[in-house]
Amino acid sequence: MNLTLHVWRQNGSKTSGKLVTYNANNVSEDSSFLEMLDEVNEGLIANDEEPIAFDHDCREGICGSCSMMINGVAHGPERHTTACQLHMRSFKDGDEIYIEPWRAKAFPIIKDLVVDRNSFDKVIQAGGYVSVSTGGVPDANAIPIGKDYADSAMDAAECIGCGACVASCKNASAMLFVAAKVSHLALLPQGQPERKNRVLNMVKTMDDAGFGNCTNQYECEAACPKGISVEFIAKMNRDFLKAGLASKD
Amino acid sequence: MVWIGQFFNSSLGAKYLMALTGAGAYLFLIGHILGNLNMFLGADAMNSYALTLKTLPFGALWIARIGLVFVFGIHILMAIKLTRANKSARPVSYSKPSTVQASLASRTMPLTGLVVLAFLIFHLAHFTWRIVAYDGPLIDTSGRDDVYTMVLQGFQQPVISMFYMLAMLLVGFHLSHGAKSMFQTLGLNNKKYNLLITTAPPLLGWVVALLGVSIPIAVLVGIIS
Ligand code: HEM
Ligand code: FES
Repeated sequence: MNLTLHVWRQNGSKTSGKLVTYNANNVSEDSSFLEMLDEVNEGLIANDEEPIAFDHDCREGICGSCSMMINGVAHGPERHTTACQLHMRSFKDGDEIYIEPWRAKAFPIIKDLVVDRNSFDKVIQAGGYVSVSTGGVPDANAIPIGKDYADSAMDAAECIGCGACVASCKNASAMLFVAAKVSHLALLPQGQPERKNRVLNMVKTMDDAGFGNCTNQYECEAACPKGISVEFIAKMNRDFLKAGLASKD
Repeated sequence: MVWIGQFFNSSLGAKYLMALTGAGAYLFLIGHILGNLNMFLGADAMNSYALTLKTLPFGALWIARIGLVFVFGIHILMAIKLTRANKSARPVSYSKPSTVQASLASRTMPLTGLVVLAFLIFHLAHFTWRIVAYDGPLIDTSGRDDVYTMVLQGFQQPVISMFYMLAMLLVGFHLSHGAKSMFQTLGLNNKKYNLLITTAPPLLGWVVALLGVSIPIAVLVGIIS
């Protein structure tokens, strides 16, 4: 199939960018979206032009690197699918495709489609962990955990931190990401000792990074390649309320 | 006590205030419209209802008024704070924006809220302060403040009636998102109740809004005269 691409090209966070049109010809419907971009880039390199910069690593939908808005939808038209797992059979001959970077103040553009997601790392550093003293290896099943809690914690832990929630949110809010990270530990016994400070600190770091505020439109849930539920945002809202009112300091 | 300021200044704290004051405004709206349905029962019912409100014991009317100023004041302040932060969180917008599931109502909350605010100010000037479109004082045969005739004369002017109807419809629209959104904001999301939470409160909002529309319509077509 032959496609017309409109790709955002920008040299760095300080310069301004623009959409540039490229033709992608003879694209196989079996290739992935990133392979299609690879081919376009090979053409650009052959012409001595700068290839389109985009993030990718695992290309199997687990690392969360690949990040791009495809026709205004984070990771493109297929639900529960990362851009790297999106295949060209989702498009048809003659399609025009707009490819843009995640747009958020907290995700400054590094180059073209590559954005700086350090603000997510800062949120994790603020509490997305449990502190354990070292010692003998504990017995695997020494702490009983109800199956529904374990399942729910796993659902939250599926978040790969790609940032699609922020990109698709009308307010560039990171609340789905933060809620998933707060919740997966809040659901487990190991997460209880630091539970209150975790939610307070992670929300504070999220606010300081300049993300917007959730208005419960659930665009994030629709865009999340892992289908993380907005139930976790409600859970974070409950946890923050309890922690804010009941913490000692 | 610094923590209170910090707590409500956070994104989530501001959202709780938005939801709580939204819920307060929602409950007030229900009570206010139900009370105003006295217009259908005639001048005597309406004027005695109005007199009852004004002569509530322990200054209850003033307590309620001050409460309402806080409810609306905080709702509006938080709306400004949150909406500004939301706008600044995405300085460059998408060239090709797209919406997967966000409802129109949810995307226009600041706008519908703003029109409702303009209406609220007009409504207060019209019926509370009585400085626009009012030729009073109006006194009924029992010597009471004639609220019934004031409303009747107000709504007999089609432009004024239209504004009231538009505002009521916009409140219904605002609540079609707000009345379920507030539960999520306050952390109430549970598969067991979600169907109820997401349908009943917005539906009640629409019912109340349409009851509000019914009063100016009834005046215009002469059911209330
Ligand atoms: C009768 C009048 C009003 C009622 C009953 C009402 C009710 C509500 C409710 C229940 C919410 C949901 C809170 C949440 O999502 O947690 C809400 C949100 C909101 N309201 Fe109002 N409101 C009214 C007037 C206003 C006014 C005058 C403004 C603006 C100046 C306004 C602006 C907003 C905004 C921006 C939101 C947040 C939207 C969101 O989070 O999705 N509202 N309102
Ligand atoms: S490249 Fe790893 S998830 Fe897409």
